[in-house]
Amino acid sequence: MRIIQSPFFSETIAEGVQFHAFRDDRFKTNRLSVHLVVPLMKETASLNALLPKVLRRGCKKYPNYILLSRKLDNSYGAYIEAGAQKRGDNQIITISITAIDDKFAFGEAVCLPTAELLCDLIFNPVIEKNELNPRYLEAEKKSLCDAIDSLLNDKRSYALMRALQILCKDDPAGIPAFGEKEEIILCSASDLVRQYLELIRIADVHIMFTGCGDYFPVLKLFNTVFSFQKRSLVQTKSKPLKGKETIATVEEEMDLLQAKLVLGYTGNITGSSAHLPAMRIAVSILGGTPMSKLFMNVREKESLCYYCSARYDIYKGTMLIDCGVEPENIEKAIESISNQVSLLQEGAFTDQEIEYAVLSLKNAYQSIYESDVSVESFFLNQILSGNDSGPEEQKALLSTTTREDILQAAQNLSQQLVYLLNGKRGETH
Amino acid sequence: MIEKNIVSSSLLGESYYEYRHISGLRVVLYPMPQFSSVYALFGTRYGSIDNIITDEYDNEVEVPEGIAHYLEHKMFEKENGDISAQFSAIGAVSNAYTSFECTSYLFSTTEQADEALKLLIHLVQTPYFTEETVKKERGIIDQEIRMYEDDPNWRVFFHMLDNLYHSHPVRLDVAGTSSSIAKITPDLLYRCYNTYYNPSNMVLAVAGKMDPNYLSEIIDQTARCDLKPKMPRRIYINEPDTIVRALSEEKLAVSSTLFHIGFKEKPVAECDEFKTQLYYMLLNELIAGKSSALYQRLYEEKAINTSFGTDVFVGRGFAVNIFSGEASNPQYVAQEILSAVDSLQKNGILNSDFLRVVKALYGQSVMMFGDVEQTANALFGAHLSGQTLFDTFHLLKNVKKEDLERLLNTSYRKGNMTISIISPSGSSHN
Repeated sequence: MRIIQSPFFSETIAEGVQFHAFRDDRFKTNRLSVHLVVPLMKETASLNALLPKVLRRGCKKYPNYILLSRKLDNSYGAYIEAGAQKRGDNQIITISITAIDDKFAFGEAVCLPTAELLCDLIFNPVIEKNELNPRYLEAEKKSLCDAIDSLLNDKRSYALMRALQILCKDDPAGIPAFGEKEEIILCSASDLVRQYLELIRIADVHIMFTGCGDYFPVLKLFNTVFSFQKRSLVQTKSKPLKGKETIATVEEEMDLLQAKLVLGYTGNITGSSAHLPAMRIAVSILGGTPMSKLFMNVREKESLCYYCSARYDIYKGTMLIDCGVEPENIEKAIESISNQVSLLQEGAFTDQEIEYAVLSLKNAYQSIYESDVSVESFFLNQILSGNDSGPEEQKALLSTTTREDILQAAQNLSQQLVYLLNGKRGETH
Repeated sequence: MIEKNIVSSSLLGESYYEYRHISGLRVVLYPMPQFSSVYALFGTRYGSIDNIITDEYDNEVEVPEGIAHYLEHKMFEKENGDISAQFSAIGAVSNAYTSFECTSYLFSTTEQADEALKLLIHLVQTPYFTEETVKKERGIIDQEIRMYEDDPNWRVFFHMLDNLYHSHPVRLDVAGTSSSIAKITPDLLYRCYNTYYNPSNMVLAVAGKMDPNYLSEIIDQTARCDLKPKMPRRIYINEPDTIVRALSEEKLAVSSTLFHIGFKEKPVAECDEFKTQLYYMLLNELIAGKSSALYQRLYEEKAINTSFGTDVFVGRGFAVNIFSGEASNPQYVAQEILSAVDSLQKNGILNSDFLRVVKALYGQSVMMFGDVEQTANALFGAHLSGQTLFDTFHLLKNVKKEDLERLLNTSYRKGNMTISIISPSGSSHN
């Protein structure tokens, strides 16, 4: 894998293990994340989603969560984030710790001790009789099942998630990021140990440090940890979604007042493609800003909805458009949105629309260094999609993109899906 | 040029500027030279709870629910179209929020902050409402209201407020209802604007990469000075200490039961809101924070899950301590919270626990200063309620265990507790 140039520091510390650091005085904190990247598979998705949740509850040194929580309080409110997410055809298992830098503490070190704590959580868990943190397994299984259930509560994200699953149903990207509840319930403590050891052995590992502190001691720490691990790396490359000739229509029902509509498209342009900047501009013209075609027409002109926007996935090369709409206006909304997509593909956009889109994207690239989470997320995306440029290069590419490039990219968009989460609340009341 | 006060924190090694502009507007500028973005908020002490205005004869007139939020939407529309376009044209992002007590307009940008600031001032200080534009917005806001009606997290919170408050307008939806917003006219919008958007009732806060002197000049050139400073008359809200009901339950399309347990506490004077908020945050941590014995036990019993959390909701005429999350038996969680409070009241707070939660809150307060947006928001909030941004550090340094114990002993009363529940409607889903 190529290594991104400065201001990002990158070093390979073992086979398939990279340490990345971005040191900057603007932060008051140090954030350290360990990302374990593996292909998303039905058989392991649930175990992988469960693992970070169980690991974060304790380690040999702090064998229960109350001791761990008190340790975090005493580390000036340091906090741990742990979970699994989906990016393209991969599942990423992440555990992070964020704490204030030593210079804001009252004469004690925080940076290295919290890094050691993170290391302990990942590499020195409580394993008794071939069971991993058994005290917390059942509570974490329930917690993960609850998290899957509660995806239902945010109707907009739920509709987007369902649309993506249906759109990519023949690809790993169609597998739910947390696996299935039925599988989670069946996970045993020994399954978890086995999967834990497997992950440490095969995952593509990215350790990322973002903060104002000194990362060399942290790098040294991980060098030592990984010198004991035998590794055999798995391949993690996402494939762009292949389009079909026909448009699928899927309707699901829920007890709702407002229907959620999602239209899915393939775009065939992914993270490392030279056409990506053009596609980004096209999608932004269509539905990326309050000046976009969808916002100005479907919302402002026709008052059909409160939100209507478009987003692009660089891993699968897909675009989703979503809006919340009164059930009786669904047909009108589909027509209005499709009309805007056609206008884009016919080249019916002004130089001013291009300029707005470019400015908005430039602003987004320039803002990446403003927060540790966005630095981490951006560079992880770049690494995983095989693109070795930073925000500056991405920004520069926008300026050299022509109207023809944008039009060509837009013409790649091909509609694949109409997904509707429809209300049935009106009928039952 | 008006003398600027410098507010400093030796702890962070940072400082910012604060002054009252000739128009009466409070201006706060926080330079963060290491960053490349600028985040600005211009807002007023006017929110959904201000549902009464006074007319020219000083009579109290009730205005439709949701009008502050409607006004916020309509401020974006000017004679020459939507002002968002002009922000977009310089690569800035603009937005606005209406809450219970305040309405704020904001932008974020990495380029041409001076131009964006001019636009922000124009956005807030140039109302333009016509019959046609006001009517057009109704469909959009109706869809926004519908979206909230389907949002169980929003519903469970508002039911809790409705259970606690008899007459305080905090129990009303911020966006109003479909029928209340239908009564909104351009004339009413102008009257609310003139009452509450007087510069002396407002704060302009900017944080990020900037030259504060240059931004002050821009403000001098752009801000309206033709309005006589006038603070809106706040209407006294007669609200009994008692609660309305101890339990409510609604069925919605949710996966598992959501709950908000709320304790109605004594409201405090505006100058004490900040301190009270902080003290309650510490107390809530001690009672049911992640490092409390109660949290650990409830979590291991699977009575709560990771969605469990605590919150403090304090403002003009209201104060609520909130414990919320998902649980199959919220009544059991409530009962356990009451016993934890009882035992803490009887035995007092352990000194090591006290020091631990103060240390954690200190660290979390420092973290915020590594982010332009969070700093700007906190700066705006602090000065809107007459505080300074570094008061938190001062309060945390001086807080005594006994202060918390005193507040604890008069709060979290069983008779003032309500449980709001949203349970699954049993609808099928995939």
